[in-house]
Amino acid sequence: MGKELSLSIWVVLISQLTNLYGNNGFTSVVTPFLQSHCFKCHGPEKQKADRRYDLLSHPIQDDEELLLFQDILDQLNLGEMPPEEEPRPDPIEVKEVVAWLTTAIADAQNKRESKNSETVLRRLNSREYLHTISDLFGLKTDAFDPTEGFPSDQEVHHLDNQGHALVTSGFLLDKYLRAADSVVEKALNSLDRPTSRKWIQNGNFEQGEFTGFISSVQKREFIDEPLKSVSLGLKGMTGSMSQGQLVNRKKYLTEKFQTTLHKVENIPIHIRLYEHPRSQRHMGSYAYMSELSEGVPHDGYYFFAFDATAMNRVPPYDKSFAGTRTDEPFRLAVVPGDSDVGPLHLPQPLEPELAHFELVDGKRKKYHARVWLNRGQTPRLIFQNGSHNARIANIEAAKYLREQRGLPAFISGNDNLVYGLQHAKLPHVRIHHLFLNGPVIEEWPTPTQKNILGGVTFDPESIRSKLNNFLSRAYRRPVTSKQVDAIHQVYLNRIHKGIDPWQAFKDSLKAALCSPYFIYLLEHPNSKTNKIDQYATASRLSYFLWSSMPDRELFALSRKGQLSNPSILKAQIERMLLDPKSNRFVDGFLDAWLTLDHLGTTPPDHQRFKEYYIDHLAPAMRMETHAFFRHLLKNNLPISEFLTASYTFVNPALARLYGLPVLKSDFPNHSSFIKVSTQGHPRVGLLGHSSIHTVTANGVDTSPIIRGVWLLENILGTPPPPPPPDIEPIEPDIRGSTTIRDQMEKHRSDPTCAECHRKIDPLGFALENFDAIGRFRTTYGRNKTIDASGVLPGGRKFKDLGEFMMSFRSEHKKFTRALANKLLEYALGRQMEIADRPEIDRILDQVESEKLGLRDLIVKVVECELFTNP
Amino acid sequence: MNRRSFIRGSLGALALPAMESFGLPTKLNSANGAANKLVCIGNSFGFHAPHFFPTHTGTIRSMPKALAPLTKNIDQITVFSNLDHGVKGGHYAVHSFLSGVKQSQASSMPNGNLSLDQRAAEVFGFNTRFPSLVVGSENGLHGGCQMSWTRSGIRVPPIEGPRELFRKLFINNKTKNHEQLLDQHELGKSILDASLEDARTLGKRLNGRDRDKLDEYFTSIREVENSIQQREKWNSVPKPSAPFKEPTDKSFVENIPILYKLIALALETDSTRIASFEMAGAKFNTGLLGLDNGYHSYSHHGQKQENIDALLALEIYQMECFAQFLDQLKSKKSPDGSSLLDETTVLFGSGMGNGNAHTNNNLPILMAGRGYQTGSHKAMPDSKNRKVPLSNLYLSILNQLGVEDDFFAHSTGTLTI
Repeated sequence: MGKELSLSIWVVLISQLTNLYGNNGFTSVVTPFLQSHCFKCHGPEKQKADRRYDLLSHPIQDDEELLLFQDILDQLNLGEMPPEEEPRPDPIEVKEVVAWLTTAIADAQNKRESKNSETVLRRLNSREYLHTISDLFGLKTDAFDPTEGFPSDQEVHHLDNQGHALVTSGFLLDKYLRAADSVVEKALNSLDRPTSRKWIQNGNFEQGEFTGFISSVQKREFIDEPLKSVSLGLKGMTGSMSQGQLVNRKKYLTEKFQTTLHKVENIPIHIRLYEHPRSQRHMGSYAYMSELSEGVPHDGYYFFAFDATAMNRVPPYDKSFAGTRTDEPFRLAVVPGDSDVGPLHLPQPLEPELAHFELVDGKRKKYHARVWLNRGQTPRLIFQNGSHNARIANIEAAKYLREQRGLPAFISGNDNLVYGLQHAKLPHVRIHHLFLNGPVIEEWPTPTQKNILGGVTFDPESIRSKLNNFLSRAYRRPVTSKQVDAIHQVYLNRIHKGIDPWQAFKDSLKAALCSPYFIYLLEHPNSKTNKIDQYATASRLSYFLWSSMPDRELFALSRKGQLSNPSILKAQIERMLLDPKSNRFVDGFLDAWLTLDHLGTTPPDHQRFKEYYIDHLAPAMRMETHAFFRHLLKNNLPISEFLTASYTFVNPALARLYGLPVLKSDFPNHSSFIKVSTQGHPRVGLLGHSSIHTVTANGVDTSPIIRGVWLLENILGTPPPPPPPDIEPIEPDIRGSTTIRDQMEKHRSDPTCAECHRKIDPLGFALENFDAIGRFRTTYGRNKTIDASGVLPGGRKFKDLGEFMMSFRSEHKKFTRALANKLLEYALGRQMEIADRPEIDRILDQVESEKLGLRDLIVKVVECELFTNP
Repeated sequence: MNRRSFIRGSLGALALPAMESFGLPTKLNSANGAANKLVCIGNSFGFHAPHFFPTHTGTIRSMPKALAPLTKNIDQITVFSNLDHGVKGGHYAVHSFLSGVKQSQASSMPNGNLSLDQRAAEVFGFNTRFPSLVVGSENGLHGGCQMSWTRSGIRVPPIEGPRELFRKLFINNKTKNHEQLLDQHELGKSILDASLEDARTLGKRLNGRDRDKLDEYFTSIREVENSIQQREKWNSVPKPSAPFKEPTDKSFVENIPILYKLIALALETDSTRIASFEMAGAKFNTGLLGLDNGYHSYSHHGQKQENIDALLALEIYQMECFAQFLDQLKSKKSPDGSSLLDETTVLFGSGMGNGNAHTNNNLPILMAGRGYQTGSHKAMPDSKNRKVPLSNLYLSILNQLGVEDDFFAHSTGTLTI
């Protein structure tokens, strides 16, 4: 009986809801409401404030009408209309009208923004530009970024490749001109073979502002007449001092004098590395050859060698002043530095790891590696697992040591610092000798030069055929003679100006890189079939899976018209996903889907989240999600794994953060990721990844609302409408004993807020057990226990995080739809619209009925009708 | 989205192409012949309201805590309260500070999210070597301040460090001599000719929506041609000689006073008449001010007094630097006795209202210099129906500079004091 009753109520509710959101809703709900509350002043007789509502219709006709609907919604949300002297409308009616208006307005907005399910002429975004340049010229771009200074690309729902939103401006074109110049000059350079050179540095080391401190430590002389000049310091203190104290005091002042005297004068005999490069002050973070600060004169591989001593890896104190991990060997890495970009003792935007080493304790030893350096760069050594704040470490250690010796601490922080540097046995690395030799040339002309010249020498006679070859690749399709003419004209202009043919040729290539044929993807349809052609298909495929131009094989297949063959297409997708270039897809897509590019944009607090910096967690978090996605892709695992997997991928630092019982010996090395079980831990699928907890926190606190909205938007594909105007947000108050849940209660008790917040909040509260960097926690500090319980919008209750993770699996259909939508939007460079729905439904049916995996889903995306539509 | 923006949005299609609507310079010079200037300064986390707004309106009698460093400058400033753009989004809306429009809403506006400084630069930027200078933090929390936007919705990337700004202002290109620079311009023009040719052939192949998109490219070519012409013109004019040795880049906190100094010099040497300065909070090296946590942490003070105190220290530092800047402008006198400050309208504020609650209303707005040397606090109505958009103030600023626009973003009129 009870069951039947509730079922019938349910049916009635459903039919009411359908009515509510359909056209009926307008005549049955909205019109009567407006009639009784609004028409009097905004109807046929009066049109106060120039608004008339009795002529409104549904569906919404035009912008003018949309504006009026929006007006009504705003007024109702604000509670400002009807005016106070008029009868109050029934709150339940208001809620219904608000719900109807919100949906109707959203639909009308979507229609307004519709592009007829076609991709708008799509410009390469910065990411694609960079990868295309890299593949077109065979350039290494990890430490060379011609897109630096490009205005950032506008994103649409976190997607950075949506045609209609990618704006071209004079600003950008100006940057294209500069980038083209630096790319071509770098790739083709001079035809003269560079000569190799050696650089050696054994002394005269510099370490930025730290140099002075280091020199004061290294040269110690006793100075015998300190007291006179500093007698002021003794004033008023001697009286009450015992003889012993006085001696100490004198000794202290002697030392003070000494240290300050030597701070700036002498030149260090070695470099000391104390801090990892993510520290706040960068005190001893970089070791470099100050005598090669202008950098190497040519691009190329160089032989780099240095002598290093690992000092005090395990300091002889009970306390860990340095905060380094004593159970692992010191790790050094080589990164490039460019003094034109910024000071060499500070971090720079591009620091790819060129080589890395684990150091032997205590002994001076030689290390070497072959490293790639661009012109102007110099190699720099960094202490990967150094201290987070060497200044504080040294000061604390100095105070401790002086106390041990019965001495008072110095007043000045810098004096304590120097004392610490002199006496404390804190972990650091000493670099004694640096050597560089190169470039080491294996092939001349370079492969790039040969590739573009079509031989080993430059022959101006065949200029047009050279241009033809280059342009067909750069424009990603065969070129017309008119296209060659335009670029050839630049060559002729240059020759006419008296420029030599080689330079004129290079200049003409620069023009190609600014041409709209290079900058835009041409995806216009064949007028008969209304499908894009084979070359456009090849480009769509390669920009989808490689974020770059097609390779020779794809070009060859499009020339032969074979990309419409399903088995060939499938084989190509498999091949492309095996190519390392597909990492660009995984990275680009994870950024668009899970906003992983936000990692690091709200850096967590340095004090409360030290390990985030010490263990270099941001890239590790990203890598976990990357490896997980890769795993599903490689093994073609079901989409549901994203929500159910009881395993993940961790490096030693993440294992520590998660408290997973993984042995050090299980890892091949410190940076390797291994698959581990998370059975018995609250980390199920994606929602257990710290990357997600971190991007949904603001670096200081977690916010259930932000996390809830994020999950609805990105994981379930059902973003809540934006908050109505003039809602006073919660003013965080962390003084008392209230929790965020208490503070939210007030918000949720308001019926207009509750409508959305009942969907948002439970998802966010469920994840409150993860702090701002994804560590598991059960309290918010003192005695404030976290309550993660809640009810999912579908009615499922959960009492804690574990139950939530189990219940959330039931959302897998929404999840799969959201994922498929996002993949299509990423692949096609446009937003999905209503008209695309049948094709998406077809894909989802196949995924469901054939139990398809992630790789299958990608194949389906490429095979579907939409992929070859313009 | 309000009524105005919507109607404009629908009229957007009728708007003239960007270049033609730039308008002609009019009344650029004040009575004494000196050119008017505009400086806009913004931070990303706002100010704690009780530290910023005077308790009474009218003549300011006691300085709020954060404004204490401006005590001696009191006659040079005006503080406004209850002004904002009516946008939401916390950190994600801070970038609307100078434009009044969030980037995501730009397409519904006739001028997109064109910012105050860039609108001024469109009209009289051609007078100087640099149409405008945008200085400060390239990024920061959620992108940082991101204050300056062009008509096409491109954010103008700032010059980050004192070294680069110094080189731009005072150092003639060393790697290329005059002939080489001319040759570079020559090549640029030749490349643009080829690009234009290609764009024409491409345009013939495209359908309506794609062809509209390609219009951006045509416009871009014209813009770059213009800027190459500008550069050619200025190539033969040597830069002013450097007043001191090239500064090195330090931490952001240490850079602020040097950047201010360079901005003052840029105005004095007439290298530009429009400058913007973005101070992204996340770039603040708070350790140098004796604080342990980051600026962002403190801005989420949660009403804890120790956090609010730390916040005040950060705010006071910014005001000390700003006061020095005003002093510098004041100290540069022209022969008739007026100062650079009398020619310069200065806007100081933020797109963030209350950092603790992430709201973007009641923005901290402080005006100084030309037209605003009143020493008073102007409170605008705070009731919802009578709110005055901040864009009204911006429209007035533009009008006072000689830009004869009749609207700016969501303005409903002007705001004159």
